[in-house]
Amino acid sequence: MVPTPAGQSSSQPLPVKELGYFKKIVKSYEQKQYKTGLKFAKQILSTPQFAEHGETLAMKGLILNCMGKLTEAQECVKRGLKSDLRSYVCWHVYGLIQKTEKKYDEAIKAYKRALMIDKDNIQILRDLSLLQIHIRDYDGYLASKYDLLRLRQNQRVSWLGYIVAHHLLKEYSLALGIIAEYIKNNTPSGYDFEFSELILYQNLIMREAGQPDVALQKLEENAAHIVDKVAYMETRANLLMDLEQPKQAEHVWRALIQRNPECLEFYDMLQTCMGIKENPKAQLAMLDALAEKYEKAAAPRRLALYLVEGEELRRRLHEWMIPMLRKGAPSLFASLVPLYKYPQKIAVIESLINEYVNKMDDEGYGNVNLEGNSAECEPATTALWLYVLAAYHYDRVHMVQLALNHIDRAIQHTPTVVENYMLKARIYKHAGDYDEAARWMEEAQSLDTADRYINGKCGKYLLRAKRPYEANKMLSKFTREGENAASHLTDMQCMWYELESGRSFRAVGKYGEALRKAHHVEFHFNTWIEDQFDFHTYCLRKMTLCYYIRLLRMEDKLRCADYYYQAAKLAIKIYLRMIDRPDDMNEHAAMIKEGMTENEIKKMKKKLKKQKEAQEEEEKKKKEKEVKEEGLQRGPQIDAEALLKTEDPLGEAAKFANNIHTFGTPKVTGYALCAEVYQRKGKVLLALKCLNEGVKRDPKHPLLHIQKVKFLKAWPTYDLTGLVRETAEELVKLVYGEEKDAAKLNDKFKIANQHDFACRLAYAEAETFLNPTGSQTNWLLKSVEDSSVNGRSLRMMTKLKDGIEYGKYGKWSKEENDKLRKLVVGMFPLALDFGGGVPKTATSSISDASTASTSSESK
Amino acid sequence: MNIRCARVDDLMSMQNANLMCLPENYQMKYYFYHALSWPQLSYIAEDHKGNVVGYVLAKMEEDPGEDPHGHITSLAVKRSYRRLGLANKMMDQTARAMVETYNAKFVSLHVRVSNRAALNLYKNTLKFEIVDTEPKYYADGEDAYAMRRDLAKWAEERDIEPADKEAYATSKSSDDKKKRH
Repeated sequence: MVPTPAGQSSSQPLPVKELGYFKKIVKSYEQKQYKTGLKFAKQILSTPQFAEHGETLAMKGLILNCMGKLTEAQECVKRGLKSDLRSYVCWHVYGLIQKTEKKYDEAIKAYKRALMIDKDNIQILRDLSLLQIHIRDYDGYLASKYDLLRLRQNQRVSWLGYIVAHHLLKEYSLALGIIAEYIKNNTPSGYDFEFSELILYQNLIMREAGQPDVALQKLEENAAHIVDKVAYMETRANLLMDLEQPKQAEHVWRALIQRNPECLEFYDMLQTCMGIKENPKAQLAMLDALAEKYEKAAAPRRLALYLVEGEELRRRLHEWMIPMLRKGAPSLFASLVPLYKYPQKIAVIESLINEYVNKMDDEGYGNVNLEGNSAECEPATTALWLYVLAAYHYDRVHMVQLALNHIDRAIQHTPTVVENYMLKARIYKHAGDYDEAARWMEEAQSLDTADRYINGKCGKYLLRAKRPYEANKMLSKFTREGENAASHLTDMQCMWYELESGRSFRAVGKYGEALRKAHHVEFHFNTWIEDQFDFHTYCLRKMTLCYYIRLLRMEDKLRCADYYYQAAKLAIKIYLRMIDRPDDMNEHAAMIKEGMTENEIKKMKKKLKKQKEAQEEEEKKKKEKEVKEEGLQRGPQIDAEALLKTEDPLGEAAKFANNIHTFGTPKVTGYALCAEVYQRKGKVLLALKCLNEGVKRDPKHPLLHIQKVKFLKAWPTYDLTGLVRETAEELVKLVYGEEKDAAKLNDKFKIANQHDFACRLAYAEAETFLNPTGSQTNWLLKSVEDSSVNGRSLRMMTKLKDGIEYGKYGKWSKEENDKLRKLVVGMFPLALDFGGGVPKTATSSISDASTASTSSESK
Repeated sequence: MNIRCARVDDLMSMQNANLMCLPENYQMKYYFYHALSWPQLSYIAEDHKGNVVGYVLAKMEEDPGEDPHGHITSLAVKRSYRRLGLANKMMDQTARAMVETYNAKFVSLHVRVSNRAALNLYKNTLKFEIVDTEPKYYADGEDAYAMRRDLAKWAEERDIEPADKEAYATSKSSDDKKKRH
């Protein structure tokens, strides 16, 4: 990679013999023969007069860097640079090392120094341009691409890079001018994938330049060259719409539906073209016509279900459900889920299901026909899938007992269907009995040990049941042999696992481990940003430029992804807990607070320690093996204990908050969280900005409200001047309007949202903050019982309980806590966290259920 | 479920679906590689919330000695979304793009010899044929069946136009490999 130095620029020219060694170092590096490279470096450096030979030290450092010995590498490279500041090799390598450390500005400076010494060095120019595009320094990128073009005019990549640079700078006419020239001189006679991609890229630029007419014209001119048919048709249809030719566009969307009748976007666009977006009757007619035309298409039939009500919905649901029940699709419920947004539709679904079940019960499932004509009987499995559907339905509407009844009937009907045990587990999970849920999922798993999906679900359920180590053991059945599941899943960037296991560790008070998982997610997101490096040049070669541009834009908002928000939330909350409740970080103290006896704690600690040690031993072995084999360490090296020992938890929280608010999140709760961190840090403007972003998304959100109250209380105490003060005051107006008093703000919120449980919790938390000696306990307990208050879900009850433990709602006596428990168990008898759940002794044995006779007649 | 061509933005969700369903997993870069090399070939099925519930991750094999052909790197449908015909519908879209954009004559894939559910799907629903057994193909030592589905006839029957009609009529490789079984 590094060109053999000509020697002129170095202040330490080597004699022939040593120069020979040096060339061999470079060669070894390029061929990844790192050990050999180091040997040759030693040959030079052991000669006293060349002990500090800059370029040799640089190369040695570069090799060490590739071997994962980062600190040693850094030191070596710096020493090299110090002794030979006039060598472009030393500067180039120094830049490469800075890049590894993600110090991109430093690296760019170093590359530029190297180019001052050797201005036409293509490799350094390429490295520089890569970093420039990576940090989105488009001006710098254009300058480097211009230099590269100047030096290599005959290479296609040079031209394309130059075009892309202009495009990204929104210099459309320049980009289009060069593309047009290029196309004129390079139009192929026959099939040419790359040319097809180039035409589509030209079109993208034209559209972004606001020239739909030219775009359409060029698209048609070159239509014969375009082999990406879907992209061609979609582009054409969109352009026709932009140019207000809906009739023509309609034809194209219809042609696209013919290609793929399951793509919902096509239907949506078709409706727009036909001008029937506000006309359900016309929409229905259109969908019905298409349903008739495409017999096997599910989309037009399913979409119609959203448009109709009452009897019509009933008729259509009947037509939709009966074939699926007969075919035996466990996925029937999945297709109905979107309908559950509308209470009236739920009622229709429920009445239909009940009608079928009653009919089954009355006539016996051996001789029933759900369509009313008794000519033919239903297949035996129809009953099974009907019970499954009913169980799904009642689970969805939180009628636990009915859900359990139906799934038990399904299991009794056919004890071998694995999905049924999964569903039973899911019902218990939703009802709050995580132990029972995990038990049934383990049962499901044991019935199909070759299926990873069930294995993963089983792991997830064990995590929910606060058994993180057992979960890992379960999951290890599908990870690399002889390896800890956790590190394999981290290698594979498995998001669901990082998040679920992080939460599981948090639930058992292992905050260090939980933080570690959140930091893994951060690591993965960084890796995905680094992954771009491989494609900056690759896509120019492959000519897949439209998709390359999409990649860049996607990467720019990568951290908006929900996974990132979830991880940041996990981390921030633990860091804040470190400040608010430092004793929690000490597992022992925390357990005593939980009411465990010394003996219990000893036992539990011993058990957890043993499990943990076994896993760490495995992990260590694996790491050692790896280091030996590959000479480098893979994956994130994050230590849970070290994370807990941070001196600056607020600063650590702010790092996550910073990523959330700079990259933007669609979530109002994300901004509430950031506002809290910034307010604690005394960053008034940032806190206000986040509150304002939150208000824009959902001004009434309870979590945002809490932060609004906290900030308003503190507002008069801030001492701001000048422009900061002006900006802050403007933002305060945007967030609070004319309201200046925190207590009044809170009271108004209470009155305006008295029928919402989450809002009541928010009021109580804010009130406790404003008035720590007052008590919210009785009011909250009454809220739990009050049937006029909406949203009293198990999830919210758990939030209340966690909040009480955290101290968010003032002091609660043992009696008051007991009362809460009793109330919640009254509403949710299976809620384990409140002392509910399936009585351990009376649990129906799994083997009983699964060996139950298949032929048992109903009634 | 919504079936459409996969975009770069879908890859994270696609990776997640793969990790949930199959033991063969890949880092994100490999998904990027697919999406940026053969952007027309990978398809997803998503639920109403935009979660990927099934996907086909596909590529082209560009061996100059052979006819151009597609390869299914990975295909999965979440267990709770099976029997909706999603795999079939996605595979047809992928196959069509392979012919139209890359002139593919056939599409190939590998499957664990023990995976009867998948084998059944490929054989009976998707009309793949076993052409070979590759010993110890998988990291854990299991053998794989190499399977193929002919696209030329399929495309002709459906009036699907290949990218390069002239070249499509001539064959580079002999049919030896196919006849071995």
